[in-house]
Amino acid sequence: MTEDQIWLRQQHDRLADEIQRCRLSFAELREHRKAITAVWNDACANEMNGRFLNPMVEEAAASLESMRLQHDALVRCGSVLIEAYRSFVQASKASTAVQGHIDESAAVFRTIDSFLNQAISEMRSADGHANRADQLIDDAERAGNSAQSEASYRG
Amino acid sequence: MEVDHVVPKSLMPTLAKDFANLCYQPRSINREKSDAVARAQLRAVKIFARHGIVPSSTVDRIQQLQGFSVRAACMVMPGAVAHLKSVPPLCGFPASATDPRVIIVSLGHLIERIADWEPRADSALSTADLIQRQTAEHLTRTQALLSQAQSRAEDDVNATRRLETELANMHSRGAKEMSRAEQSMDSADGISRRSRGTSHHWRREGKFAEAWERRAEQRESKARDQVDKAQEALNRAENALSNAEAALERARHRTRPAGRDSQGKTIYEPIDTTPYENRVREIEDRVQRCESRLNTAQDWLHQATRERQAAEARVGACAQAVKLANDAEAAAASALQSAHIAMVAVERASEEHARARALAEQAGKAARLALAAVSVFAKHTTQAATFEMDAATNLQAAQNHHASSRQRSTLGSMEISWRVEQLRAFDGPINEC
Repeated sequence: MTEDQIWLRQQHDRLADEIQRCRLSFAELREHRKAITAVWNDACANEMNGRFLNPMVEEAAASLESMRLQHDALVRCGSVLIEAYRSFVQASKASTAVQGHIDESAAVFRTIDSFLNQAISEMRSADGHANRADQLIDDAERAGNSAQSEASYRG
Repeated sequence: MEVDHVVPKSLMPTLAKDFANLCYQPRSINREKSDAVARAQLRAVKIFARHGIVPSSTVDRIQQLQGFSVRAACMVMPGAVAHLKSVPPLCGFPASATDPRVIIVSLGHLIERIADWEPRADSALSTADLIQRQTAEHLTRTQALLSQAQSRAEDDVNATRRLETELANMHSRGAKEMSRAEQSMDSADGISRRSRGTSHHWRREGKFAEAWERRAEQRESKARDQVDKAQEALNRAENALSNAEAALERARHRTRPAGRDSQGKTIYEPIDTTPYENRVREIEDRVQRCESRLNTAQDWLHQATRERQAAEARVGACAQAVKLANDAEAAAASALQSAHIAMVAVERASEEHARARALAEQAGKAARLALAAVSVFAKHTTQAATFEMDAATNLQAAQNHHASSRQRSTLGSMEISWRVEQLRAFDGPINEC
């Protein structure tokens, strides 16, 4: 895991703590509401509960639940990002290996090119020597035949 | 800060709603504090007893429980705890729905709780929003990485394709040069054999020519001897002729007594020169024969000399041909050597090509691996984007719910506060209103 990922995970943990604290506080609030119903259960209580407190608690509970779902999604997102980064590292390693093989291949190609050029040069040289040898053989034949042999001399 | 019970509610529920039993506590201390019966609790009960809020007998009971938590005390001394739970406050207000002071206190606490809850929820949502943005940034960076990785993987695939193409070109070029090297080798080998054959042929011809030259020299020498002998014979014949002619001349002037003339003088007559003339004719024939013989010998000598010269020329020509053939042989050897070096170079190129092929295969494998990893990377990134979107949707929902809750709580707090004020005013004397 990278430092960034560790940091992000810490941030998610921090959010979880924050939500947990919020949930505790909310539980205390609900507990307190429950506790005061014993002493505050008149028409005013019914009105306040109906107009404000019950909707407030319901919305707060829904908000907390949404935050929990958001946190869960963020945690899953963070986990998948870690997996994604692992794949990225694998891809990078493979890509580096590809580049290494390609560089090495380029070096081998240069060697092959050098060998083939050497071969071409040597073949050219061989052709030159062969042509010269051919010419010398013809010269030798001409030189040898420039004088009569005994048999031809005698007719 | 939080409001806490001095004497735990679990120990004396009847004091739970008494102002005197409430105190402010730092949140951390309140959370850490258990329901233990300690000196502070004993001191508070003593004060309550002194002011008549609880019976004085309660102090003794509490003293017995000092050092225990309420839960432990319930197990150890259930009777004592049960008694304390039922102790009514002496001068506290009885729990009643109609008692305005209890309601005022309770609602005051409720408003405090709400006031405490609101910033906490604000803070949590603010944190959630911040972390949502941080996660989104992280996702954006990951998406940028994905883009890079995809581009790189594509480059890798293209590079490996180029590598394959180059490899095929190299293979084709290598095969062509191999064929040419083999041809060159064959050609050099053929020329080498031909030059060796030529050299051998002219060395043999040279030996024949030398033998011919020796024979021609011998013939010439013999012819020269014959010329010399013929010349010598001719010289001798010519000398004899000169002598014979001189003798004939002298004979022509010589006389011999042939009688006496009338005067008695001895008559002389020329002598007969016929023998002398015969002799001259005979020697002249001999000279002619010698000359003829000399001419013949000189012809022979001339022929022998020409043959010797021809043989010498042949020897020279053969030597020259051998020299040239030797040069040709050396050149052919050089051609063979160069062709051999070319062949070795082509073979080494072929070996290197095999190495390059292995590397290309490895590169292809690694490129496929990179492509697969990038594919997984893309899949995970898409999943992460989906989760991030879910989280954003939930955050938005949480914010909406919170806004609604906040609105209700603010209005509710204001309304309740107002009503508490009204209740307090109703409960108090007129002059305090």
